[in-house]
Amino acid sequence: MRKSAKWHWKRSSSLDLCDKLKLILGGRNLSEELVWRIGGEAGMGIKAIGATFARMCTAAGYHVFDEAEYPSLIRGGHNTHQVVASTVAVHAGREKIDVLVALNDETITRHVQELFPKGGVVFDQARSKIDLQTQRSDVTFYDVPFVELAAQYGGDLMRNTVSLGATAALFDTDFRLLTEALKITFKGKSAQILKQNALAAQSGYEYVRRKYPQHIPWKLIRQPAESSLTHRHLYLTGNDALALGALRGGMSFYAAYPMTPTSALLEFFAEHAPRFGLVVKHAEDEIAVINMALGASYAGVRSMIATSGGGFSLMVEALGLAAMTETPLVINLGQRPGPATGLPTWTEQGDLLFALHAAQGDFPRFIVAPGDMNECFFETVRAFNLAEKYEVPVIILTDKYIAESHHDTPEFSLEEAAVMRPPAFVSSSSDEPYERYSLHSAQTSTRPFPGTKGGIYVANSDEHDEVGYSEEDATIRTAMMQRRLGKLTAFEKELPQPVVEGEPNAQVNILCWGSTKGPVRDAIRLLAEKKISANFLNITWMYPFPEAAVAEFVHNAHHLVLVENNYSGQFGSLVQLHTGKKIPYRLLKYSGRQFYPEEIVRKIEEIVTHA
Amino acid sequence: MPNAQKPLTIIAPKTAVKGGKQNWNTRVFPTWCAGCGDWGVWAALKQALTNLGKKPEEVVIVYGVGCSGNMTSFVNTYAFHGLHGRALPVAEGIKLANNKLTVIVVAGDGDGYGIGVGHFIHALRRNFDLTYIVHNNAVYGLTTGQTSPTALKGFKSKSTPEGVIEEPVNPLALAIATGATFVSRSQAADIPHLAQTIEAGIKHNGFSLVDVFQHCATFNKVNTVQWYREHAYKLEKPFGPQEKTKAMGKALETGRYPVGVLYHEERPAYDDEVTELKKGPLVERDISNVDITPLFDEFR
Repeated sequence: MRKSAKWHWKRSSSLDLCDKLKLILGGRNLSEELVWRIGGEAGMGIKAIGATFARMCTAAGYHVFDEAEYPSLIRGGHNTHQVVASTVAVHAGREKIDVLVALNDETITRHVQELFPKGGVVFDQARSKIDLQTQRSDVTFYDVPFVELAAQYGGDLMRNTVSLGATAALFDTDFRLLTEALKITFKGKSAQILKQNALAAQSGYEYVRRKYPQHIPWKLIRQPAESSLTHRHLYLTGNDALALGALRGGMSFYAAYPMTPTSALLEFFAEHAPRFGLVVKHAEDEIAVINMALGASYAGVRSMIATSGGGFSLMVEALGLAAMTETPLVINLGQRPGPATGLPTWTEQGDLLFALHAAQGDFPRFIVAPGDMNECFFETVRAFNLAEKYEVPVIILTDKYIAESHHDTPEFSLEEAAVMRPPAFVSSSSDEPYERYSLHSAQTSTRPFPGTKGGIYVANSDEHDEVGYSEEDATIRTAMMQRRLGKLTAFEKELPQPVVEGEPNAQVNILCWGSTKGPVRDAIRLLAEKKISANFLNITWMYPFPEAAVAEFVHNAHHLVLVENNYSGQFGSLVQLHTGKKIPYRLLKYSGRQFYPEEIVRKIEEIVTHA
Repeated sequence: MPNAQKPLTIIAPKTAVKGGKQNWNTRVFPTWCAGCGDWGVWAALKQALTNLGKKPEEVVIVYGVGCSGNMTSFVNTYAFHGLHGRALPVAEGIKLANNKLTVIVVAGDGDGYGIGVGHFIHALRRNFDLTYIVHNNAVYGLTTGQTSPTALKGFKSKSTPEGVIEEPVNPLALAIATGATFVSRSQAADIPHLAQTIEAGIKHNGFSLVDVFQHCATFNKVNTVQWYREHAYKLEKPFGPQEKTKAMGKALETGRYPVGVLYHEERPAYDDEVTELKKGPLVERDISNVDITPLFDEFR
């Protein structure tokens, strides 16, 4: 697949529209990307320097995807940060890397096999016990005295910045791009800290220039304006995009109990609460979190909560309470591998059926699983609108992979992200209670907020009559069930439909959902290179289930492949339930890691070859 | 015991509840057992609301689940009937969204001191401006008579036929230890006293605990109206912050239990201290077109 480790970055500058179309349709040489990985112990600043590298790439005009892998501890352990820089949009990490920056020996031991032939390792030989004689001969080891150079600019902590300077020199990158990136990373820090880091980076940069002036195969240089990212692009994680969506969507109240991978949302909202006038509450547990949010929603504000599977387990009873009292609520369930504490800092799509079936009884809920940054933003805004319109809980299903990986994405257009509120209840002089749960008027009647004259009603956990008073009558029970569950049918009429991406009538047809969209998208491009035509249907709005669209896709498929990041093929079982089609090929991964596009390609090659 | 020999009648309020400015009754008539203490709490609560001149629409009552929670359908205010043990966080959320509202929480002892005791402790230390009325009768009534966390050691019921082994939860001591600003107890059978206590609790700006000795006429044959009367004595006046240890001493007394406001302290309520609520209730925030573009610079 990779013809040469030689880079032809300039080529992309001459892309015209035809070439761009070719890129989408296939026929593109994928050697226009560069994969960089840094590794070391927790506490060495791996994440910060990974992000700075990515910013240097976006400053140069490259698209980026970056992903941090770290264990659940604060110091020690093995941490890595991988950045894929590409001249075309990139949506996933890569199995193989070009350059490995090793701040410790463990990084070399663990990752040297992942390097492409002719790849490079940047390391500090003075601090290493690695015997180069025993290492791969097709890989170049670049010795840079990180520790010695860092000593002049504040000590060991600067190792990471020195290594960044060193790689920038290896890639022949304009040092000013690195300075730009450092400025963003250290925004808000003192001028002294920025200066120290810039000097440390420069020392690494100059060292490499002197020692390795030639024979460097990579180039990461400023892209011409017409083919590069502009300042209208953002560099953010799924959590960031979701948080921006929540702010735009009118969220006023946020409650949470910290839990990876959604803790960043709590910190983000707490930080921005004064600026946006939010109330943010770190509650005593997830049971309190969801009940507080229901109280706030009941009183009339838009509320959101976020957690992971363990916290969601505690919220389950109140999920039904939201549906029973018809109180709007947006819940972000950021999945990580379970059961129990599982792999706290890794990724899995193991909670789909849990989210769908959580809590006793039949009741309506909507589930959306964003698959990229745009969806994280826009579908969150939509989730708020829908939660209020239908007065149901809306679950936004993400996972560690999408929540914490950075992507570049065009700036979100606010015009396309409007807040839409149902008509407000009009107060009256009536002393009579209000039939908020009317069985006669519209599917959902207007919801009065407490404090409004003429609107007194009861939000009741017990089955209730039209005012909300407890009621066990069979006729009313039946009608109330129909009122609540009828929301699913009503929403189906405006359910956002999934769209097939890739070649029409392709020989391989992939079904996926949520965060696997990224790896599948990149795999389709790789497959096109290999002259295998493929397309995929990624499901974003998952429940109510988009039955017609999925049925059409599966029944017309040639080689139908399920790609899912869990053990049992949870989405596949839903497809079978709703369409009667048992998916013949399943690619499932449950190691706590998301798919690499290359893995998907291998599986599909195998299918096509043996079919 | 001065009252021990008196006949066991529930003391009626001085002013008739229905004679107030507002009609606090709904079309649903209570379903409690004859002789249940809940009738007294119901009457006293309505009396307190009348005395305070509240309007039904400015009051929200959040109910837990149990016989106490069944009051949901019997009082004409905005109401939220939550889950068993989870009334407090709902009330906290309501208060954060609209701190203009008078928010009252009605729960039971299993509800509030058993399954929901975690929320109780945190609500106390937060000092939200809420009034927390707990029906404390030592049994689970709605599930037909199991032992509750406030039952005295040795109490026998369907769930503890050989007598309960644990020590009872002491809500008053727990409240004082956890930073409560208004700690009180009253009796369902003494409606004027209970109404007065609830009224003081609602007036108090902060978290007000009103623990109610509320006899279960059907499933608790030990802690009867007479038993509560024999084992309770009225406090003259509340202890203040300077006498917190004295208040704690009283709260820890066993055998005879103080009734009245045991501890009172003025401290800003949680909702007074939230910066964003100083501009006005959260529910009035304009969300129609939130401009997030200035944030884009944080994501480059």
